[in-house]
Amino acid sequence: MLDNEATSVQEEFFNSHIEKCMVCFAHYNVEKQIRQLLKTKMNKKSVPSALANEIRGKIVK
Amino acid sequence: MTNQVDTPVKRSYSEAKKVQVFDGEFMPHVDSMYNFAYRLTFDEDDAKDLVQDTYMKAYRFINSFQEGTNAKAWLYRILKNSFINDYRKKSKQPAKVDYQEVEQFYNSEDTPSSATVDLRMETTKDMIGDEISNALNSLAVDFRTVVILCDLEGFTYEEMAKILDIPIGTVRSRLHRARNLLREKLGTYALSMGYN
Repeated sequence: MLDNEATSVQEEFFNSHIEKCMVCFAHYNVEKQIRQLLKTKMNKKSVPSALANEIRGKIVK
Repeated sequence: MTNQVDTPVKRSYSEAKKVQVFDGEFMPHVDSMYNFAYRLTFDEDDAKDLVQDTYMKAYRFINSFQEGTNAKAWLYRILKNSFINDYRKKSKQPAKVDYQEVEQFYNSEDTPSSATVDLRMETTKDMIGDEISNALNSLAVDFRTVVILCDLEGFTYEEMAKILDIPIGTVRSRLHRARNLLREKLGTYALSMGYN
C-alpha cells in the first residue's frame, strides 16, 4: 500500500478498513510518517564535483 | 570481454554511441549512486571509489545494456555487486552478522503492539535528521539496502528483486523486517528523550 504495490482491490479494501479501524489507522500513519521522515530528513550528500569529471575523463581517452 | 554480465543479447555500440549512452543514461544518476555508495560504506573516499568503479564497469559492459531500459536499476545492481565483491573483502570490519540468521530471528517475533503507536506518532514528528539517519545506519547492510532502494530511491519491488538478485518475496519480507527494526529503534529514541 505505502509502496504503491497494492492492487486497486486491495487498496479499496484497505481504505474502507482504516476508516473504521482506529488501530490500523494509527499504525498506517506511523508508517507513513517514518517514510516521510526518511525522505525529507536524510540529508543528501552532494557529490564531490570532481567525481563526475574524473569518471568522464576516464571514459573518453 | 568476459561473460561476467549475464545477457544473451549481444549488442555492439560504436565508440561514439557508447559515449552517448554513457552520458545520456548513466551520468544523470551519479548523484544518487554516490549517496547510495555513501550509505553503504560510510566513508566519502570509499563511496567515491565505489561509484567510479561502478561507472568503469558500466562502460566496460555497456554492450549488455539495452538503450532505453532502466539504466538506474542496472547501475545500482553493478554498484551493489561491486560493494559485495570488492569492498567487503577489502574492509577489515569485524565478523559479519549473517542476515539470514537475523532475518529468521526477527521473523519469529511479532510486530510491536499497537499500545505504543500513538506515542511514536507524536514524537517522530519532532525527530531530527540525525536520529533517523542513525537508525537507518544501524541496520544490517541488507536491511539498510532495501529501505534505501524503496523509500529513498522509489524502486518497485520488482526492480529491487532484480537489483539484489533475490526473489520478490524476499524483498517483501526483508523490507518488512527492516521497517519493524526501524520503528523499534525510533521508538526507543522517543522513549529515551523522555516523551513518555
